[in-house]
Amino acid sequence: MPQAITLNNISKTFTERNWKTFLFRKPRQTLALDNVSLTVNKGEIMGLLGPNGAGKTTLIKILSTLVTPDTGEGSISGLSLAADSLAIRNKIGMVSTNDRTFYWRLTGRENLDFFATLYNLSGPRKTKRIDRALELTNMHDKADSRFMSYSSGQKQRLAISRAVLSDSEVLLMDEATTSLDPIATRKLLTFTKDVLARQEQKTIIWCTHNLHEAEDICDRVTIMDKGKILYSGRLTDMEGSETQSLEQIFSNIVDVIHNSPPSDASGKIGRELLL
Amino acid sequence: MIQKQKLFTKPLAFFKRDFQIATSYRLQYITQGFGIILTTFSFFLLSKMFAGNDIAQLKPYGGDYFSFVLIGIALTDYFAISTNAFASEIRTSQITGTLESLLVTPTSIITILLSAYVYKLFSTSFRVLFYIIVGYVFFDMLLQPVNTLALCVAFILTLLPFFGIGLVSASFIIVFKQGNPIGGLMAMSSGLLSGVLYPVTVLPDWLKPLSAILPITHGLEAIRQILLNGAGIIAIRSELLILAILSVISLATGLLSIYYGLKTAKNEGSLLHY
Repeated sequence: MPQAITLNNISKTFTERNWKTFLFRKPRQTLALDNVSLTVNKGEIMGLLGPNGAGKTTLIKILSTLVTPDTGEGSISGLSLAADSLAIRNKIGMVSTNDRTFYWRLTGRENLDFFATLYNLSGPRKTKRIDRALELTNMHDKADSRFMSYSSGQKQRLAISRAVLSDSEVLLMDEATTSLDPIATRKLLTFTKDVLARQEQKTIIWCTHNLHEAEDICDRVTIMDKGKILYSGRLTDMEGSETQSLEQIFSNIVDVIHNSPPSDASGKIGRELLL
Repeated sequence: MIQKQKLFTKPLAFFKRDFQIATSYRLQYITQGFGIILTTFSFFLLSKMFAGNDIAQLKPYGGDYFSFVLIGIALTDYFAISTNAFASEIRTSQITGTLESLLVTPTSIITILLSAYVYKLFSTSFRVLFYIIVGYVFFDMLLQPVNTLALCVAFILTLLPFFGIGLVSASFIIVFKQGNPIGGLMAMSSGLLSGVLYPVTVLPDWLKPLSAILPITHGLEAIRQILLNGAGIIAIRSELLILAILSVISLATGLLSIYYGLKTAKNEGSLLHY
């Protein structure tokens, strides 16, 4: 199967910088990603799971070219993260928890019109793409209301409309259900799986710390903790998945990894270590 | 397939965005209008003190203090906006949260910054025009027939150094987020040294070299000569040459700063922090 995303040995360390580190003490360093390698196939929903501080958001930011990795290389749709950042941004759409990424005093349509232009769309093609994006997310009726009047669910749907505006091949969905109620969450999960992945053939990175959400919609999952990939594969392939809850499996993985010798040179954790 | 856009498509999109947002706060236009009328009236009253006095330093500018100072005040608006527009776009986007959504689009940061400047340039031009109309209609401001070509050249060459300074200022915000000293320094130096409120000839000799390296000093001189004395390009060629040199130095420094600022913020992972 063709690969939409490949990451090879990506590492990232953040170094504290403030007046104290400038004058008095050595800066603290935080290892956000440790030799991460990952591939995501075209049209696949890959769940990115892990507790807070696992490195999920850093990985998403590297994929969206907002953060430069210290080492390693990666590509999206064959384009290099390091060399083709502008072209890559035409291939990705991003949906985050942050509802402040829109202009609140503009209507949904005005917001989409603005961002569509930044995605190099113009003229009738732009209008068509905006209508299509609104239709996909069922936001036509609210499109001409100001963004500030939207409910959390509507804001999230508009964020998805924006992410699919440019006909992006890869969608990076970072904690996309955080501010949604259970019904809206269910609708978004169904929409992501049925429409975005199956119908529109988008490759999706679904970043979450909710294991059940991942179980619902992801073809494969990558479990991370402290910047390392602990497991990458199908949830159902994980040992113990038939007899234990997902939370138990996840805790076991984290326990085993934290109490085991360092991973092998490739950075991959042997399956035998998982449970 | 990536669609090719016309050169001005993105700047126009930013203009439309800013216009739509600005017109959703209509009251600001009324308060700004009153502010301009009051400022103009204050300087008109101040200029009454000098009326009838033959002030040697004002002779090169037609002798009328009101016209001299009104041009200074109006143009300072342009310089301030050009210095602060880029940093303000970054800072506002950091605080409101829209920076991430701008930076994940296939639009370079330079395009974003320059495009965000368009509405500010338009609104400042509107404000400056309003200053001059109020001054001319209500307070007898003296204006000469204007050499349009000279005015355009002087205006562009005056703004270019401020673009460079603005880019340095924006890169400061990208890396350090707050405490940008450049806007304040420019405001202070322009008020004190560049001849906004008084001709630079009144400065003590030891301050004159400092005044001479500021682009605003030469910009103000050139534009006052055009508006108040009807000067053409030849008459203001030395100012234009200095402005051209300062433009090259300032733009090169600005572009380098933005490049290194972005690189630093992407390496530190602080691009979206505020």
